Amino acid sequence: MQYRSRLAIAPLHWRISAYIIMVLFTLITVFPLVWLGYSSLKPNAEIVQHPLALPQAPSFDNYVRAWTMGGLGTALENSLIYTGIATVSTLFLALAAAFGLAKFPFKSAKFFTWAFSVGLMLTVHAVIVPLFLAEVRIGLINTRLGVILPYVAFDLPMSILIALSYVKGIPDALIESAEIDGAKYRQIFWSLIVPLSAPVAATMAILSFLRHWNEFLFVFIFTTKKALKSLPVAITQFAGRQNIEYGLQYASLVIGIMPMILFYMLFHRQLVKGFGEGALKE
Amino acid sequence: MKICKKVFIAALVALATMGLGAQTSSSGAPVTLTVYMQNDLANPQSAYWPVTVEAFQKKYPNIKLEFEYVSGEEFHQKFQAMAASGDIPDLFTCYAGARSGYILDRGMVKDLRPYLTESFKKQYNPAIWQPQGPNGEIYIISPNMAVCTVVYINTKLQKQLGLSTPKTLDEMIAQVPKIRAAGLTPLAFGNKAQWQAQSLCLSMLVDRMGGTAWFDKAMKGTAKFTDKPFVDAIAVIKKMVDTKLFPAGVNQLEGPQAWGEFVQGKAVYLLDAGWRISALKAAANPADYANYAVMAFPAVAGEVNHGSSAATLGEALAMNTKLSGAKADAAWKFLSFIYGQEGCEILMKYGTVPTYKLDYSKFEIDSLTRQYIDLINSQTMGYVIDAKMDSEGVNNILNPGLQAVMMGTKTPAQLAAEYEAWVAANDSNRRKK
Amino acid sequence: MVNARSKRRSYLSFVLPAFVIYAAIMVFPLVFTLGLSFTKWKGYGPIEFVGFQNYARLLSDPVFHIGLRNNVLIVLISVFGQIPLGLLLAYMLHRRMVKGAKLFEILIFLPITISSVIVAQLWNRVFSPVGILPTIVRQLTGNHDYIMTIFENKDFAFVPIMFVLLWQHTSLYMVIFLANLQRIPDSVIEAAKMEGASEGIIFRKIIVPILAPVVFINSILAISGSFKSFDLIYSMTGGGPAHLTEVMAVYMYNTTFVFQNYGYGSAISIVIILFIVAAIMLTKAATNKLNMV
Repeated sequence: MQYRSRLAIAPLHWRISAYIIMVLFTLITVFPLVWLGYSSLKPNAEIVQHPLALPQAPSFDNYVRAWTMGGLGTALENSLIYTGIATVSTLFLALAAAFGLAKFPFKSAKFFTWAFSVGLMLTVHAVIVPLFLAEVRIGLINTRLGVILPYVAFDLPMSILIALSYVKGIPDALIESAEIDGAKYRQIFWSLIVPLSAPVAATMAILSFLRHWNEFLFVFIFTTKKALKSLPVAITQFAGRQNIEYGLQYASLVIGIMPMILFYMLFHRQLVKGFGEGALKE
Repeated sequence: MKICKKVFIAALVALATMGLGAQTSSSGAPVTLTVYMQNDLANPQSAYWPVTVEAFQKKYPNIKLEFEYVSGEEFHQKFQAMAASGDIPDLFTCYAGARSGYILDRGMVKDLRPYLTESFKKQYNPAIWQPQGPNGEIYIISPNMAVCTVVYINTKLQKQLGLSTPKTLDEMIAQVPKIRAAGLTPLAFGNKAQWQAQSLCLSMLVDRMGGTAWFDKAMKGTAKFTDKPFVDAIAVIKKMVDTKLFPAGVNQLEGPQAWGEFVQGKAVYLLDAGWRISALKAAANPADYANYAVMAFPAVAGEVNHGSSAATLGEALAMNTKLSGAKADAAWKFLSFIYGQEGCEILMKYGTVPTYKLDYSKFEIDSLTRQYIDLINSQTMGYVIDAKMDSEGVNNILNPGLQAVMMGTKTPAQLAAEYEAWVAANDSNRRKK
Repeated sequence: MVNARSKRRSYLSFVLPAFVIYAAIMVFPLVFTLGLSFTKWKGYGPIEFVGFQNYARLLSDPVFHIGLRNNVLIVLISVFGQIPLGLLLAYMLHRRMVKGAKLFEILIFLPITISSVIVAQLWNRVFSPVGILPTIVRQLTGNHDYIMTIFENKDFAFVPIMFVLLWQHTSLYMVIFLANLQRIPDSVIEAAKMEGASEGIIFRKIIVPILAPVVFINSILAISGSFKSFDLIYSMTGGGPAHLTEVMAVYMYNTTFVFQNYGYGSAISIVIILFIVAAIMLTKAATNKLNMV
């Protein structure tokens, strides 16, 4: 830690500009969020008349109403289910695929890798109509599985590419020695690859979680029952453009943001590390 | 003879369904109906709906309803996906026109005529029984006429500023400097969502300039959208922008923000639809609301049709054509309840004037609603363009084009030429033989 | 050789589950979309084969051209805005040029966690004629009619959206760079300082070259993301006013679901994918060339 302090002697003009840029950027980032936060504690009339003022008598009334009117409790539960199951499934499917592609000497690996990387370029909208028709035909519509499967599929390309570069870095010798011990590949995967991949697994899980949590379109199109809605869908359907009760709207937006901020506060360190690892390895 | 036969069948069916109804309710087997509805419960306009549903549930506890509410364009997007799959809910919001083409053209909506006895139909404004399909089908019992243009007035502000109610658009424009000097908006209007200038303003203006006779010709192709009535109507909108009648940034203002300004007493007039009354009533301070008045859009120089507005049948829930037996029976009970006397009385209480003929003397009708009833009974109604013309031409060319005209990057003649070119090449109205 | 066969079986058992899900959900629908792009279809009724007509229309469709232009602007703001700014911020934090670097880092990172739909609503409350920004300006200047006219400017309407994109994504790159900066041994910077290199020189001549591969990967992510952008713009402006803020994906969405022109919408989808592929290949070629020099 001490060498860092020695390094910190950056020239004055650098430090001054650093302060200016940092403070400016932070203000721009934080101000709208803070404004949203305290506005949500004001009754509607106060928001309309004094849009900038702090609440005169802060009240959580908007929250209580938003929560019950929007059915946000059920939605939160659904979001956790979709995101949780999809994240875990993606993680293991991607690790397994990465193991197969990185450590087995078959030519088709190249094709599979290429095919997965094509997925990075696809937009959700390009496939949503045919996918919907297919789901109806199979009977997956209005089921949790019908939402989770596309989540997993759309997340696999990115996760596999991240996992692939990491698994490649695991020394072949480790695997070979396990092979000599007579371990089956399934055993090797569970007892060697998975534990060794823990750091990158954390990255993958966090990135997946973030993407799934904020997803909108699949849940919106593929579910018609209120009991299956996720949080972002419930919030936008309820706090849409027609709503002129700003207090209610702001409160529901804050409810939508809060879980992610909490998540971020909890996993901040892993998240930063994860983003770094995710991007560095080619 | 034909009519007799129809009535006879209708009566038979009605009897049969009544019989069925009695059976199911006595046997007590609950029926569940799924309902997909264009609705935003947070919209003050929807305040009536939970009350209606509750009243229905009280009367028919054995009919269970499962709602899905979606609002705006997302409603149609999702419904199209459902329709493509062939699997749509039991009841759903349907428009009598192009907007619901994706379900109507596929024959997914039940023709309600077998249920509609003469005595039933007599209870309504006859305008809603105009044929809605190519063979005279009736798909929805429209609970209200969607009158798309009226001008709301804040008479308190008017008095404060010493203004009189303008008879002509030019008179209204002459009031602009005084209103602006007071820091207020003359005519609140929001066009961010793009459809408003066309639906809530241009449609009425086109009727003023050309009337429905001209529009019928333009649809068939014997008249063109490059004709004077259409170009002049667009030019009026441009004039309203240039004279600062509209709020600054009218194309950045969401509809609710615009009427929100009016409700907050920041605008003297509001250009909006007739069905906005219920929202104004729910959102405004009652003391302010008592000061609101309503009038037809003022007279426009060169108009051939005086005092008219534009209207279309308001959307309503329709029935899945696949329904039969107990389910169809329950669905009809639901429809005839919410669009019948009980439902329409609730509508009326919440500020929507229903097409169901109610004995108004039974209600404490506020002065704004009373004025509105008198207004729409006295004016003729033109077409609403997006209810008549194909979606791509309206949404991709006309609506954004109007914004371009309002912002000064296109002339009315240019827009008219672009729209005519598209319609001539693509619109289904012109392709009909 | 029994061993080889069982090895192959194991290999497939690892790769295939992921591949089957991926192919079923992404590849087959894509083939369907590709097929539709050669047809005229309104989502129901007869499908009419029209050859390359939809693709030909793209060439002369002014709305599509605005969309394409705006997508290119997003690519530019991502590659030349978000990434450099993210790098600069990361470097400043890394060198502890400000006190409380950790706090700044946490605060700046916040936007990443918020869904685009909510971000759009938030900024609409800021920018709209009744939003807080015009309100503040009106109170300061006394001009009651102040609005952000930039949204109605033919050439610059897209700028506020680019600003929001910068706001939304810069911190992602900042965090990525920060993590990678921490892998550079401090001795490297120290040695340079000993030799009297200025801070600017260190940044340009040492830090940037070391991080070049990271910049490259970030650029690829940024480019493919840019051509796909939809959520934020759809919720913020819907492409309006007058198509000024249209992007390809929003136009594709409207064409398909609002105009019910499935064939043309599918053609736009396919073209978006082609643009992404082309842009990535170009980036690859460009960096290869730079590495050669």
